Amino acid sequence: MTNLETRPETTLSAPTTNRTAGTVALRVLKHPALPAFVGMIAIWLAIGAIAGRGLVETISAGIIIATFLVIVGIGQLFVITVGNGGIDLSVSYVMTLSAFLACQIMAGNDANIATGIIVAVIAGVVAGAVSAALIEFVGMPPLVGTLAVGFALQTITLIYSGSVVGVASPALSDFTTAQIGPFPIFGIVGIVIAVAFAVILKRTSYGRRIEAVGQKPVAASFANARPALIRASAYVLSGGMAGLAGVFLAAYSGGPSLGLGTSYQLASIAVVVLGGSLIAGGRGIISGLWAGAVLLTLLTTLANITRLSGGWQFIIQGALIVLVLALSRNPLARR
Amino acid sequence: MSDQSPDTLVVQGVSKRFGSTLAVNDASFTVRRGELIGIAGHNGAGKSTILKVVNGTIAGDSGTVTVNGIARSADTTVAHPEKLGVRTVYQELSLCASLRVDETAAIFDHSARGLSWRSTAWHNLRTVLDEMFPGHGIRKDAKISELSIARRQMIECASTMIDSTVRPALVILDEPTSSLDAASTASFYAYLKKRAAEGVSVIITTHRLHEMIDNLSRIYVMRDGQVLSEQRAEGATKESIVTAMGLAAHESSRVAPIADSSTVTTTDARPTTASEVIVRLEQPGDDGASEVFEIRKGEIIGFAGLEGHGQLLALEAVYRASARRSGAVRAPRRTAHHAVSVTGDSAYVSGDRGVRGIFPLWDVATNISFSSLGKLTAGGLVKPKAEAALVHEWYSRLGIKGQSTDPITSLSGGTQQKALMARAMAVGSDLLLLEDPTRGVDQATKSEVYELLRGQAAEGQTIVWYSTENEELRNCDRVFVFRVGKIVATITGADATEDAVIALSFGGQDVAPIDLEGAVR
Repeated sequence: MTNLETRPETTLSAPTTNRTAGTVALRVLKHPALPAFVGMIAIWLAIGAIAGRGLVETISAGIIIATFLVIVGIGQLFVITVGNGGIDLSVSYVMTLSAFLACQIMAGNDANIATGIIVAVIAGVVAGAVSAALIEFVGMPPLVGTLAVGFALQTITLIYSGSVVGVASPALSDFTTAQIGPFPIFGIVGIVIAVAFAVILKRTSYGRRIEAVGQKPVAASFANARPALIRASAYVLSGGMAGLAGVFLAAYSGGPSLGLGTSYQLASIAVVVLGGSLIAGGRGIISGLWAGAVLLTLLTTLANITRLSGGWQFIIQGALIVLVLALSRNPLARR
Repeated sequence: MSDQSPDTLVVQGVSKRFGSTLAVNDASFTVRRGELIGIAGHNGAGKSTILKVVNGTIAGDSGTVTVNGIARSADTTVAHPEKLGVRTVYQELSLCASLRVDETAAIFDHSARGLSWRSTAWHNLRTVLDEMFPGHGIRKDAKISELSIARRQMIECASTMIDSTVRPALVILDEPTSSLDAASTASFYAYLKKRAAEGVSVIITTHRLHEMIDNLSRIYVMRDGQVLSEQRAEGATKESIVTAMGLAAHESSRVAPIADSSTVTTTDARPTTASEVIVRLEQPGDDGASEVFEIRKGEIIGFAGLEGHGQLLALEAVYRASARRSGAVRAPRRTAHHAVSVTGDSAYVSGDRGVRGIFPLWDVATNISFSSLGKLTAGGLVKPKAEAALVHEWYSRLGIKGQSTDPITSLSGGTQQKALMARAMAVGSDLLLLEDPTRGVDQATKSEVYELLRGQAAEGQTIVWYSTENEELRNCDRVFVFRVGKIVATITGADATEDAVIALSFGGQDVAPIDLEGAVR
């Protein structure tokens, strides 16, 4: 290849990373996940101060319950990050249906754990594929397409659940609550899942495409990515993750119920936004999502301790989201 | 009111610092009433920045700006410059993608109010458009997002000249002609001269230096943020301006291109070289039989013609018809005028970088490596060292300045374009497709790009190049000239003079552009 004669004034600065203490501190301060972590720690300490409960028990229980939200939230994060107004409103209904399906299959027997989980995930994947088809090929707006799928699933669940009495396998139930010393196993699994998806999003070509399509679908299509396909994959992923979260939640709470997923519909969106991901797409922050999920969980704990009514809990949640959004405005708009 | 002052704009001692970069350094210049002036300079010389301080969108650090005799400190911003009669077209176009053309016009036209606001706005815009760009082919109900970049540029330029509630006094045009073809550019300058005679002052920046020399009265040259010299356009030459810009020998020694393959000039050109056919374009001929145009390995082919005559559509069809892997073949792709089949994979560079190019949330490095991730991956994960090495390699090859960890939006327009060139070239694909790739890029960089492209072609990469700048076509081995969607002639690069291309583009007939371009989403 012909190499250009480099002009003397063209001083090349290679990708140098000066890891001085100052630049590291600056990077932490500028990180979009910072508000979620700060909020999480503040509420954790507040609980300790108000209730006088042990800090370790508080965070340990919080991390377990937050893990369900982390798992659905990751799917939601991919859908939101891939852009085009993407939001998956079907996750709560997928969770409920998957919970019923898996518990029927497991029927309280440990031998059926794998089958139950696989069927639950497949149900979610199918639901996600239908959403994707409605959005990418029929051309529905994501809100409408996923809500339509969600309502269909809700009806199916209503009809089907009448004839089913399912029980999760005891081993799976134990798994969601077991501890090694002070460490909750399920909480650690949640962290591992979050790390794995953070690596997928930031360090694989698939993840890069998700963010690229979320920023500029036309530009991505001229750089050898297929936006429709990438977007469709995010809905499939979201369905699968919601299915998985549904099984775990049923196992944790002793069995499926019709209202199992309800609170996750909006909470899964809230944690994405709280974590510093852009609601308009193009930038997903999974570490922030994890902290946001723990934050919301601890917030509920705090509200319970202080005997706040459910209404106040929602008002505080809403105010928190408004605050975070106001603090971290779209970086595109800032320039 | 001091309306009688002879100077529309006086800029005195303006400086502006961005972080560690002194973008504008003690700049002073004057624009008299009814004068067309130019500002020349390399990418990153500070042209766009000084113009944004002048119209008040960004605050400078020091200095004064006097518009129509009204002085203000340069460190203040102006919320509504249009109320002072200052209108601006930015280099990065800024129309709202989801509005219709007539609705867009109403944004700029404050006189379009009341029930018939759309038709008033459209009437006022069309009056200017028809005169500025005869045969523009823009419909009032077209959505902005469906228009090609050239048409969007036309709308922006025309909207500055509407006699809204405040008449335009100072019009600032940052790279207004970068996507326009020769005919549109000529009528555009004719219109500007007419309005200048009525007292409108205009500031233009462009890298097309001959346009400045031919059409403007004075040219200020900027370098490293300073206004270094002032030249009268009559008497100025491209060389004198380039010298003032700070790069002498590098540019003027540019010679005509290598035209080593065929010298066939018939419409049914078949190069005699035996190398492999990479692209095959088939179109129905006048006599019913089909005409076939073949592009062979290692050729540089130009797509020329008037804007909107199907070049872009054909280029996009080549991109969509190309395979995902090197050497592979996909089913032919049909457009309204051509059947396109391609052997091998391709990479695409668009001059419409805001929409079709950059990923604005990412840094430069991630933008560059995006198309090459396949070969940077091991076990599904992108290897950080390999990625950094690739980025570093292309930083030095294209002479990109600055840190690769900077956000891409912090770069000047021309430097962003270099990063996009790097992204596509790093792929090492069989085909390199260029859609006005040097839009907004300075002369020195253009020369480097041309040289780089010839090197790539010599290595066996095939290049198809759509250009609105006829001068660029000299770098091609052969040029396909388009008219009303079809290829009407192929000429060798050496014969591709501006006059020849224009003559073939018109073909002696009165041709209206076909409404084809920019439809891809």
